[in-house]
Amino acid sequence: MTIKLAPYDPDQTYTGQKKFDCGNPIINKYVHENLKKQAKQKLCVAYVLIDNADNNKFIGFYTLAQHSISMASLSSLQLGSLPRIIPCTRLVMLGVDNAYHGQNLGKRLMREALMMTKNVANQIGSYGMYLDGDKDAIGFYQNLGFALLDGDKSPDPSPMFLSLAKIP
Amino acid sequence: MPTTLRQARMELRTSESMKELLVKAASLDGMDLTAFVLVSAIERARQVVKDHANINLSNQGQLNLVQALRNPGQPTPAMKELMALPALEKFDA
Repeated sequence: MTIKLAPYDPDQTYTGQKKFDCGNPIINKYVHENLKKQAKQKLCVAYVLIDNADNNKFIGFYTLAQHSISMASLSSLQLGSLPRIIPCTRLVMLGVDNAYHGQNLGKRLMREALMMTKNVANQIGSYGMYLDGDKDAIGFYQNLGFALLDGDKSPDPSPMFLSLAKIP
Repeated sequence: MPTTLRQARMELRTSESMKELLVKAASLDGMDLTAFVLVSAIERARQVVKDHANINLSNQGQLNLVQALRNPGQPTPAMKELMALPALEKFDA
């Protein structure tokens, strides 16, 4: 196996990061222009998939950040025992280069992100994973048990949530 | 920020008219130009940083989240399948 996962280092130059193409223009732009800046500012943590056989090429990634969801418009009765601020792990972005599709790498990156979410929850406390689902990915996330929080907002991203209990 | 030590330096270029407006507004507010520009920018910066970590949902979104947390249900077959995939090899530098 020549494909490996590593913590993204914003001070390192990755072969192919500027040419990364996963087929989604928003994710591509993020990898080309924002990932380095955001990781440098420690606004999120990123993990990168690199191909050892091809000059440690940047072939995939995911970014996570710790966020909180405000439940400000609910009454105490509606909230019950839940806190007014729900801490959660946010999957900011995830993508695999087109040249490497068909190897389950996206799913395996997702698996890593979910494992990490579980670890964070066990160690610091979190209620699950939040993400803004792209129109083409909503079905995939629903299959995994994510709930649409505000319906399908396509073509805009749709807020989705996976409770910790749904990660085995 | 009246008594904060100001050791870092920032310069910015703007048009004559924008500068005039800023000077006028600052003097109306009884501040020097630097303080006026900084106070406004810092306020906005704090808000942006605070909002960054916040997720705001509609009322219905919040109700749906309560549901998802109260009655999460079991992991789905697709989730079990995904979690059973082999772990990615970790790179040790």
